[in-house]
Amino acid sequence: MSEVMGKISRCEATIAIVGAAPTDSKRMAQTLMDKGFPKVTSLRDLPSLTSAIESNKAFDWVFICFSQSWKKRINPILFLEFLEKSGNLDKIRTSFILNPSDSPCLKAAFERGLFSWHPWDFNTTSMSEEWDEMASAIKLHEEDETLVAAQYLRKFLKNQREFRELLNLETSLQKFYPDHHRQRLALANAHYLSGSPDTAKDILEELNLLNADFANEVNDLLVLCEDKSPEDLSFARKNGFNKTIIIEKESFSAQLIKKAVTELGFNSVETFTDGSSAWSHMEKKPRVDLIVMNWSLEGVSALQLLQRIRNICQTAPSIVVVGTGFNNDEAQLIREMTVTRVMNQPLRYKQVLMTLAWAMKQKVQPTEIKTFEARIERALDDGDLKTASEFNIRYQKMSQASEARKSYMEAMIRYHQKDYEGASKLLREAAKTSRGTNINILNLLSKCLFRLNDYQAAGKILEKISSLSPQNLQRLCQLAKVQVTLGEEDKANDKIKQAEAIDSENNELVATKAEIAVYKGDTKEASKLMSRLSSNDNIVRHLNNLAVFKIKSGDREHALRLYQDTLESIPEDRIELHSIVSYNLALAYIKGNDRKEGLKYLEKIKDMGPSPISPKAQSLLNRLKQTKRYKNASEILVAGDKSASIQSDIEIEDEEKFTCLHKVYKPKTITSYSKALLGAS
Amino acid sequence: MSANEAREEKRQFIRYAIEGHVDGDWFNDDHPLEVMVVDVSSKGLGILAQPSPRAGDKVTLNLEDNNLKSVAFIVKWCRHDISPDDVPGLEDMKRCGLELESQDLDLVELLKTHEGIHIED
Repeated sequence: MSEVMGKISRCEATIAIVGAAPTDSKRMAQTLMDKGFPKVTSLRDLPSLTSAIESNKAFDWVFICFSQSWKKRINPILFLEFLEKSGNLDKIRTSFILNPSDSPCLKAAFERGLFSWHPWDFNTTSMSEEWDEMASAIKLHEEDETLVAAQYLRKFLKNQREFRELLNLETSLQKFYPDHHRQRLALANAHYLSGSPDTAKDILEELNLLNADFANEVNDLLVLCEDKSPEDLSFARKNGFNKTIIIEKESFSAQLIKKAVTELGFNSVETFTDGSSAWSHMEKKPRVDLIVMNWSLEGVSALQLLQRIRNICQTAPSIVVVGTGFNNDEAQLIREMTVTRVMNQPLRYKQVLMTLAWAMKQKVQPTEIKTFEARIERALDDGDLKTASEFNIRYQKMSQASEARKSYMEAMIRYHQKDYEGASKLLREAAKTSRGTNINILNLLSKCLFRLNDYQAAGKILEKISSLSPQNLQRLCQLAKVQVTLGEEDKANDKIKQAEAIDSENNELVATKAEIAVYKGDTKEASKLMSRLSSNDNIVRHLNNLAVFKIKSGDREHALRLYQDTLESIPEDRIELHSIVSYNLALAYIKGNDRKEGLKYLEKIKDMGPSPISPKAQSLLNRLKQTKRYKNASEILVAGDKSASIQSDIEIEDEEKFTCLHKVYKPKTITSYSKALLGAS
Repeated sequence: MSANEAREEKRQFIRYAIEGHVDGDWFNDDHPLEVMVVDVSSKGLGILAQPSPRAGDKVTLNLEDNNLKSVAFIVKWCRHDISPDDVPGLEDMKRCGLELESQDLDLVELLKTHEGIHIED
């Protein structure tokens, strides 16, 4: 959010109205002041405005009313260019007020940073409505000016039925907002409108998996894509479910489940009779909405399969387990792996249908304690803290949930907000009031302690939980890592052996072994293990955190060795990871006043080619080369880049600044009207 | 009690999510019910029932593995969690709140020992 957007949102922006007739200008100023804006100035024309800006008169937002009598020197499009050249584009928002005949200039204007456009209609009601529309757009997009501007351009392109251009806009935005679910919905809509309903459907199905909150909007669009009426959509499709996998050896049960999922209206049903073939399929195509699996599986066991699935996707898909006679360890693991429901055998058709329908509905609209908790956890896994917090507010009001569970959910939100101290405090209280030994609570507490670098305490808690739930492979891996950090290598080896006995092929285990190998300096073994994994991001993230911890605790030598060993272990083709670790290593050297070594690693990043860290590395390199200007390392790091300290979490910041759609959107075609305006100078 | 009132109902007792299947047969009068138990408190159960009983009905659970043969409940409220038109075969399924008839029993304690059932902490 920019400073100026904050002012507009709070109705604190200083406004200029340019080029309106005195009566219109007065009416408009009054409407804006009625909305709470403190200062609205009227200016006769654009030259008056540019003069005012050049003489440092501060405006936050300017409304330019179109007139055909543009002076040759300046017109609205050239004014946007003037703002950019004078370094004011990010300080002043520009809105156009125009007649339909002037609208052909809008694409070029948005390309140059236009904020919004409004129809030339100066009655008080319509002006008030225009502001209300703007206020809701600002709220909807959480003061993100690019998305607000995009909403206005989208409106124009839809009015004009310029659907190819709309697709161009949404595709450009997608690059800047890859994880923005609402944007993905807009992209699907643009594909549909521009004649690619199948691509739209693919995006919508993926969106349904990621965020059930858009189920209604997604379904409305799916109805259009599939050319069906909403009543014709199946229960599964209405609730965002599309693909299911059944893993069941016994043919009668498999048929019963298949009949139920067909009745519920799944588009795709895959059936497997053993764990190995199911895993081979899921490893390649992990996108599935519902898994119904028997607990007695051959090949890859259900216990192994469940943990492997949760390795790929922690909270989605919904999993329903079929079985009887679970021992305590198995029952515990089933709960920890967020299985939605267990169905006991022998199965009855009504029971299956009821259970599956309930599980699906609860995923979209949770009403029960457990499914509410699962919804919050899913939002947190998706990185959607806002949705998680909204659900948590409702959860905290559920009178039927215990205080211990409420504290646990609150702590989980705090953990994701990186308030580890606050989360720990809540969890300790929850552990005291909980009805029994609550593994969830202790598990989250150990994670907080780990983040707070209290490895000793984290290890103790993990040991305790491990004894209560010994089949949880991920926890054994966590414990092994903590023990290695504490220098307890024998204990760590035992934990690795226990994990191997559960599932030696589990990727989490392979990653842990690679991390431990790096920690021990066995880069050859680490490299071998890392090349078995499709992603090494988590390993590098964890080793990075460990190195930061070592630096903070004064063991710089060990930290440097860790970075170097990590670099040596990362497979050569993983350029991005090489550059991130090299950057952190360079920072560690610079902080230790070894500029020569720092320079060496920054130069290496340059040689690796473009990567997300390149701009940051280049910026640091430039500063390092001007060392005479700076007295010491901290000055070099702080100058121009306050974020350039070693991060305990790898966070890459995009240094390129963009205002509204400027540098985000480039129209495919430019109208002769725009050309004329651009050529006016 | 209406569905909305049921949602807003202030529970006297903490409810715990329940996992697994209660081995036993459910009846509304003499009519068998298909039931999925959702949550439990010391004096009540949350269930999905098909076909749904009505508020005020007495439903019984005949347990298979317990010395106590039959547990009786009074249906306090029922609501549609899934629209009746949505799934063929589940038109009459409702989410119901049951209150234990006997005041001497503690359901959490009773079901805790029941094989195949886990009550969340």
